[in-house]
This record gives sequence, C-alpha cells and structure tokens, in this order.
Amino acid sequence: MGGFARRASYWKAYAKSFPGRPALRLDGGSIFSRETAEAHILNRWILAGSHRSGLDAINLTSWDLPVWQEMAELSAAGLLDAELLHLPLVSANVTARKPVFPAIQRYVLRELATGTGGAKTVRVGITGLLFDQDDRISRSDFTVEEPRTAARRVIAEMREKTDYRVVLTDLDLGKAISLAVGVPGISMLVVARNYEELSEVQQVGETLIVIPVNEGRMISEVRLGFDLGSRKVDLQARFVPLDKAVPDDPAMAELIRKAEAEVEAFKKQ
Amino acid sequence: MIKKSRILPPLFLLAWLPAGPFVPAPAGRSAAEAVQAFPVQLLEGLAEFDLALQVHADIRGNVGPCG
Repeated sequence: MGGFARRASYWKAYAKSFPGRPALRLDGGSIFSRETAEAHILNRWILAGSHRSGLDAINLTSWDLPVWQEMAELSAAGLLDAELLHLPLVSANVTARKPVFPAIQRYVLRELATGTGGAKTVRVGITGLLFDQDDRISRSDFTVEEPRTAARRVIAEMREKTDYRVVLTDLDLGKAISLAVGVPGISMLVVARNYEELSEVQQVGETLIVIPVNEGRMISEVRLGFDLGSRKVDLQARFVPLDKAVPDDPAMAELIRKAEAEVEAFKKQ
Repeated sequence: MIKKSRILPPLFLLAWLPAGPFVPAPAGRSAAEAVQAFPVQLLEGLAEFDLALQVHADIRGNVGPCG
C-alpha cells in the first residue's frame, strides 16, 4: 500500500488543513530495489519520485549505498539526469572517498516559522547514521565511523543551533536503544530497518524512538508542540494508513503509471 | 508528555495488510475505483501543535500502491 502518489496526496491534504504549521518530510532510507531483474528500472523511478517528493532529508543506509554509487556512475556517464541526485542525503558517519558519489550532508538544518502569524521559530536538525553490520562496505571507497562516536560528535555540533534533533538510522532496535541511552541530545531516533510489524513509539530518556512502517504502507507522523522557554515538548505520534481510501496525487500517479508500464515491458522481453 | 498513538484503522485490521515483496499493480485505477475526496479523518489528531514530522522508510522499490 502507499507509494509516492498516496504519500503526496497526504502531504497536500495536510498543507491545506494546517496552513502555517510546517511539516518535515523525512525518509529513513533503504529506498532502492535490489536483487531483482527489474531493479535497474525501478530505481530510476524511485529517484524520480523521491526528487519530486520535496524531501527534507533522506538517510544513507547500508542497503542503499551500492545503488547510490551505481546511480552516480550512471549520471557521470551521462546516462542519468544529474538533477535526480540532488537530494538531501544525510549521514554523520559516512564519507565517500571516491569523487563519483552523490553529495552527502552531515546534517540539514531547518528554521521553521510556526504559531500564530509565524511568531515562533523552531530550529530542527536532521542527520543520519549508517550501520554497516557485517563490515561489507569497502573502506578504500568509504570512511565509515562507528555510529555512537559519530552521533556524539554531530549532536554536539548541532546542539546550539537547534531546538530539536532527529537522527535517522538503520541500526537495529537494540543498538538504537543503546544509542538513545548513551548519547544525550537526540530528540527523535527514527529506526528504519525493514520492520514489518507495527510498533508504537517509545520514549527512552529524552529520546523518542520511532519505527516507521515499511514499503510505503503508512506514514508515521509526530506532531510536536514547543514551549521554547521551558523546553517542554508536547507530542502525539500517529500512523496514517495509505490504503485505497487515499486518492492518488495526479502527477505522482502518472509517474507510477510510467514506471509500471516500463517494468511490464521489460518483463515481456 | 506522550499521548497515546492514534492508530487508524484498528490494529487487528493491520494483519490484513500485505507485507510481501513489491508486485507492480496494474497501471492506473479504473474510473470505478478512482477515489476523489481525501478522507479527512486521516488528518485528525492533536489540534494544537507547531510542527509535524512525517516519516517513512524502507520503501525498497515500491513506487506505487502494492495493495
């Protein structure tokens, strides 16, 4: 369920219903298809859809890393529109040693006017942490810092510049909880690890742990109310199911139609 | 303070959601299936807030609806 068209439809409905109350669109990563014959087709469309989605941050995960590499190489060879790689890819613990790789930002900062008449400004920092579980990533091509060390450093960098700090990661849940306990200053930890079960958010110390539903079946939404004086944050976490009751955004539906047609044509070859 | 997550639909219905690998759906929806109005109840929730973080992950090649 879900997909680009229903997500876009929800985002638009939200913007219409809550003018003046900003939203950040965060992708925990692992966006690409792998190990299927049609993956090379799907992944171009995934890039196109992600580009059109207006994301605020997308995490670099170990699952996606080889495909990002492949996409950058295609772009360098003139076989892929370079604009599609202009996405807010974040990682606090990975740097590419090769010149041909999409730009990675340590973190992104968003200053958002909110409240009546935009009277309040909330500063949010978003970063990512990649978990290379089996040390499969080539250390000659990439530098991969240990997640906890990198988290401490990036949170320290962001702390004075932000009121709320989000870490996107593909760490497994146990390690994510340890991170929340061991690294003060993480406001929200988004654990993206292909979990198929529906999991309620959990508060661990000062950190809210969010486990999104995979395969675009739902959006996990966290609504935050800030009292910047007392630093108190009021919140509600909810799931938005993207089932057939949600209409498709027309532009995204057209993108999906083209993607599916191309995949079908490939399968008939 | 944390308020209890509001989950729509009820949890037991979620067992029906497909969790398998992506299978491309037929291109487009038929006119009979087309949904026009956005279901406003999906927007319900905390009314007084400053910011929403809207998160998804692990789409793994799912460009379109797979259910």
